[in-house]
Amino acid sequence: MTIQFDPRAPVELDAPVTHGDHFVGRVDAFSRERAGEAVLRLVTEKGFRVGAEVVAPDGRKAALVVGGVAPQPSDPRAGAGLFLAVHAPEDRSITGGLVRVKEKDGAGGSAPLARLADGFRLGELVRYEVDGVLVLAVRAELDYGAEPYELAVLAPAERAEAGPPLARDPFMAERWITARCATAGEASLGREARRLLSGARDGVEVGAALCVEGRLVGRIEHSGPWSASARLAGDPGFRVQAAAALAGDAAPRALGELVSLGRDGDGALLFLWRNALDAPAGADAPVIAVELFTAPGERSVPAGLALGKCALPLVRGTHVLRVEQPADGRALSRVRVWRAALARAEGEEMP
Amino acid sequence: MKSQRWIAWVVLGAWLVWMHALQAWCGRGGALWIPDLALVLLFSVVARIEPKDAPGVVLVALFARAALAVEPGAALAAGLLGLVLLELLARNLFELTQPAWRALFAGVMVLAFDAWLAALHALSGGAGPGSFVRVLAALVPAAFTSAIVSLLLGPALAHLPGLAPLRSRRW
Repeated sequence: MTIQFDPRAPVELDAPVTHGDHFVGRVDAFSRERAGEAVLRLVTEKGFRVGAEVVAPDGRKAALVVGGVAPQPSDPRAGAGLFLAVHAPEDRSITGGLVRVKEKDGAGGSAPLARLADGFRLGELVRYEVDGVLVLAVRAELDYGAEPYELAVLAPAERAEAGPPLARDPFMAERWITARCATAGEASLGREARRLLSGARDGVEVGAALCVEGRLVGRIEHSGPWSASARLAGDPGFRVQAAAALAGDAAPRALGELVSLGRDGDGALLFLWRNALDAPAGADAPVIAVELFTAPGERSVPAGLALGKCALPLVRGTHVLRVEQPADGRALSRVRVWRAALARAEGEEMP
Repeated sequence: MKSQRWIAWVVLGAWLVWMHALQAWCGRGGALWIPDLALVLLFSVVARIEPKDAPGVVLVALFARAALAVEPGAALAAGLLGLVLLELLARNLFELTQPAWRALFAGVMVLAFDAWLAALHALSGGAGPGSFVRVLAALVPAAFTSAIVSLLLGPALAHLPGLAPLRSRRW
């Protein structure tokens, strides 16, 4: 997993990474070319180890080591989901309880940094059978593959500085590349796509957002050295992670992935959406009017770009959203392309 | 090869790019009834060339189209090669320079070519069969207007300035 952060932030190798109350992994390596980018080792990775402590319901405590993925239980009734492997449990008689990180000195990475993660949750200790063998495992409370799109990198208090809250500030001018379209209209019948006269040499990356006046209008599909092709939001198959501000929710709610089906006869965008969310508390209407915008879950798309307005169904299931954009983006001759990462300044050293 | 023919190949490429750009400009804002001018020009030219010139025509059309379109080069090359071979075959069976045949053939071929690209896009883009059917329906107006343009302007397109060295007297 790659993370992005403010290049000025005092992020260190082996620093623990968390999501809410949950432990996620550690910083494994920094990008050589890009400032403010690093690769994580997740707790699910084979060979990863983190010291932990389980507190049984009766109050007993035992040390154990967690890391990697445990095999799925033979009996489906034991539950589905992701199970983290348990190694060297101190007390095998404890078969349940909440597991939290608790590093011992000198164990699991750089000791002073590792101890910062103490107290963060790993999950619930469970015991189940796999091919006749009883195994202990930790039922993960986090979908490590999809869920943690906003993470915290822990640092000692004396080194942590108050910095800008946005690691990827969409208001920074150097974050955008102005690109000209080869043609102002559709060069391919049946598609909503453009060839741009800027490419990888200008910093255009595959997947990067195309924006006009704060609105998401498309994404880069392929990027060659001198030109790139982009698919616009009305191109069937266009995908983006979206969020919406729902009445009753304190924070914008991530909706997940929207897949474009094209446009309807009136020119409104049609998106396929699989709703796995329950209606917010207090919502009495089955459909509410919301404004959609991009969610912060993708490396190449900044959060907060407007997608348009739609009527959002609040019931679970697969829905087609009809999204109306304030202005049609199909007659564009120039767009702005999001620069996913800034190159390291000349002479800048890696942390 | 004579220099005139070299120039004719370059001029053909330029005309195809211009036609493609004109078609894109006319289609800005999502207009549906826009003919595929570059393909209509290609049909008009292929109906009058020697078979040995077919690979050159495919290559020039491929570069011209790839300059502005977003489809993968291999998909364009396969589609264009199929169209040109089909037309070379068809002109032995039908009089493709006659108004009715050329209009019908142009309309069908534009629909087939763009449906081929749309099918590939639906398969690779993961949008599903529903959106493919919707796109296919949207291609019918383009095929219809392409047939009209071929009916009205087919011979004129084949006689655009600079293309004379590519035309064969036999056809």
